[in-house]
Amino acid sequence: MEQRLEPNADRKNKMSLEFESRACNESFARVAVAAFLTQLNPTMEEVADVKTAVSEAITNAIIHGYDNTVQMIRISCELEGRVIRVSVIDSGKGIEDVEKAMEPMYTTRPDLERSGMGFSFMEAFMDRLEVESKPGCGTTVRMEKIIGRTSAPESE
Amino acid sequence: MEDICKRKGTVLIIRLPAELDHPVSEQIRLESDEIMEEHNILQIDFDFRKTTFMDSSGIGLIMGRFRRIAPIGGKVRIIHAGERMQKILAMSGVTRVIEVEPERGWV
Repeated sequence: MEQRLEPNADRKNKMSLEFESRACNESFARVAVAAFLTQLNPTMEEVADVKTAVSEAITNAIIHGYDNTVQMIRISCELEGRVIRVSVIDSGKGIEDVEKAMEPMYTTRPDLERSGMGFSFMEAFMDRLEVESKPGCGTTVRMEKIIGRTSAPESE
Repeated sequence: MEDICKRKGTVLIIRLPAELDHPVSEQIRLESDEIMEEHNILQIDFDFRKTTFMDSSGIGLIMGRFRRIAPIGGKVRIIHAGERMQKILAMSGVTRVIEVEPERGWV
């Protein structure tokens, strides 16, 4: 009698978030994305993966994009079926050489003890990563992850 | 932030909080460097028992402390790291130079 839709069939949802590039907003922003993601019924591991990747992108925007000055960061988030897409957008100084920046252990700020592993973490924890940047024109990091590929807990 | 860094003789124990991200790492870096400047520290223990979240800022913090203490013959230990933390430490190469104490009984 009661027909329920397939939970993840063609569900779509969007949200966006804009906040100042203060380090104290990092945890708020990754938790907000994680909360939005719960609609896809992710595992703890998947939530942690997305939180880590989002945290990396925001840290990059704050430290590198904006050189620790206070400006705006935008996150836009989209759910489609089992996929979450997250974009982290800043209008900061941009990246000269994206390929170089994405090399593991490469950092322009060893003075701040940056590990140079930010993009490597995003790559490792998400299924897709795309970085669009131009010096002087800011950076957009687009990431995508398929949720529930392994042992999807079904909410019955 | 109190009580994250504690010194016992020449050992600095850093009890990491639940989330080890950019602002927290920065704070611990400054605090621990201050202690290392004032005292003769020969061992740093990173205690992960409370930690469930870490990003690459945490890796920078650990490797930074290691680079500081290694030249004077000191050592860094990682203790009570759960499964996810161990995985992150391994994939970032930390475990190639720093030993992770085997943990009994974590879930």
